[in-house]
Amino acid sequence: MDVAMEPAAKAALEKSTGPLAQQIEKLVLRKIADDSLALPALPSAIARCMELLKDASAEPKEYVVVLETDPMLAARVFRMANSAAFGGTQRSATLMAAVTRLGLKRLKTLLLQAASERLFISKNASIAALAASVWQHSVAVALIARDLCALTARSDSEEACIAGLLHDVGKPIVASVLLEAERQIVELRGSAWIGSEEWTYVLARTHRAVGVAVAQKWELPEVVRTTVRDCSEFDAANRASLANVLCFANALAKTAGICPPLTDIEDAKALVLIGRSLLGVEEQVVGSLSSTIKGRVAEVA
Amino acid sequence: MPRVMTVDDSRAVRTIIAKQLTALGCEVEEAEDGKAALDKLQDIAVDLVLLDVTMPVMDGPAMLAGLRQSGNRTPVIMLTSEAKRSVIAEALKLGIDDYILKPFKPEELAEKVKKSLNLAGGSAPAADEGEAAVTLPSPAAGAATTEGKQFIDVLVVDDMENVAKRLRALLPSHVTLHAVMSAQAALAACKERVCRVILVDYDLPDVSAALLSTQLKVLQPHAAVVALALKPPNTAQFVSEVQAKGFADALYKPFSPETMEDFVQQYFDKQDLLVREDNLVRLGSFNGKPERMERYFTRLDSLFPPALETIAAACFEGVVVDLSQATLHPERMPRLLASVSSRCSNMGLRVLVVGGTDVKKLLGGYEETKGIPCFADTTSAKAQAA
Repeated sequence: MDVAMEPAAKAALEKSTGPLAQQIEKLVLRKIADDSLALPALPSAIARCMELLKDASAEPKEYVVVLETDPMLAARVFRMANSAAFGGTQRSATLMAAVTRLGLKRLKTLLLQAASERLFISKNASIAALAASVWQHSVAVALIARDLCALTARSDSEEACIAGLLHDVGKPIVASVLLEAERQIVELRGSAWIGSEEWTYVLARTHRAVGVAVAQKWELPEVVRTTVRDCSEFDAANRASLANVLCFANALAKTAGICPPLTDIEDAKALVLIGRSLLGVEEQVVGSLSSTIKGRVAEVA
Repeated sequence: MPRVMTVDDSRAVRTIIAKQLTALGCEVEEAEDGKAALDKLQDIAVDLVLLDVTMPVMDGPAMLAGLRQSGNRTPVIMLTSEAKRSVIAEALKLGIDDYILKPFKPEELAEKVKKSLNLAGGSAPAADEGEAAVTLPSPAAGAATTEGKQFIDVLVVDDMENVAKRLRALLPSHVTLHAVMSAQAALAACKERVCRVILVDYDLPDVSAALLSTQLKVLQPHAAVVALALKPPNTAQFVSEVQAKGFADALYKPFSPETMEDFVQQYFDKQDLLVREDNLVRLGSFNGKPERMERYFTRLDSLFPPALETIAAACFEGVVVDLSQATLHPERMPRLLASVSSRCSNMGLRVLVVGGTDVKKLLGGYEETKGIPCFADTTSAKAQAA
């Protein structure tokens, strides 16, 4: 739980709202299990492309056929292929040229980013702002985790990036469930349900399990699921785990100022301090990651 | 000698830490719990406390709180197997300098202790991002540095194998090249070698090129880190963008013989084109295609002013320009010398030239250059210019 408050107040909140959080978590997971909660499906074009990416013999033209069925996605592929970094003097005029220019590895990251981003867009004005800030934060965590893996001799930077994008995906989903519950209670009782502190507490306590459920539904690799599940705390017994990398990236993004509302910055600072030693990250690397992340998120998100 | 107190209930841990601190040149005090530490600190002053969390009698957080309450602001590093965020967050509020998780590597302890004590060798703050000046190490392709590291002229970091192959085909054989395909391999290469130029793919798939560039510059402060990218429509804007991200310049793909010739001239042939020793300036020859001759003279035009300023600042009366190896273009060389002569005149310097009869003939053909004295060898010219 990373909500900013004094320890005594935190303990009191845990005592008063803990049971509610447990109930909500059970409710959401039961809804997921019996398919009564409309968990966002992986968009069909993205799902098909992801299938193709598992097939080493798939040709670029097969991706093109799938991408042509999703104009928004195709536009995104064009935009990236013709961006300053890729564009060159020759612009990609066809989807085939754009896919070839990007390469399959970048295409995969782009597809997952596009899929994840759709989960953070809400038509409900009450959730939209929260979802947008959580999305910005998720992109920051994904970039930091990916770069940290690449700079510290790890081979799982791609999984780190995916887990970063999805680590908070449960938040907008739980928020929508909470809002619906609140709406019904207000209608029945004519009075407000819970305050903003309790609301944030329940969200923080329950969202991880929902994130894992989304990763499961999208059939993402096991390591991504366990990373999303375990990234709230460091595991000192398993220093090399990807969840530890994500926990550190999550805290670093927060201390760099890219954080959802009501984030406990002191808590994040403590996690950065612990993570630096636990993962053996040099201070200079932490400085570079922190100082550049805002600009990089602005380029991507 | 800095004095450090280690507070830990394990005698074995205290002994290991004491040994490492002594090797760093520190005097070590030991305490087996928080209370014993506070008692000792009433009698002695220390420069740093290394504090465990879980201890009998009085634990680390309680000792830290007591220390701060008494007004003692001695730097404290938590050295513990406790990784609970709430404990460390509370310690941060009370004021700790750093944190080390057990088990730890001796290098981590040494680095953090040195940093807290402001001793040499502690990690320095990140390099100023605005710092753009790049100094090249002396050209010594294939040679070993004084630290025993191997020199390489060009390190290429690109995930596409054919990029390095194409570069190898276009670069002169005397320019050494080493290629890696990942950030991790680039960092490893930079720890083992000394590079003159590092070419980094601007769009590496697994890492931010700007971030990698920053890390590479820490390891190779004298190398020019250049962004490799497809040629954008607006190159000036792109160069500004990459320079803002810490790159020295940009090199565009696909490579052509012309762009590579410019690249080689910019980073490797500069010293050969114009070499200054005291007040003697030797000009190198031009070996490229005839249509690239203008670039040779443009480059010389740009290299002369700083050389002349150095000579003037050293209070020499004259400049000796050795043309015996230079390419004597019938129009361009006199124009260059006329410009140098005019600049020297403004600086109060005389110009003397070294060369054979062909140089004398060339100088005599133009009003602006016919007055420049020409000598057969540098010794006699330098004697006149002293």
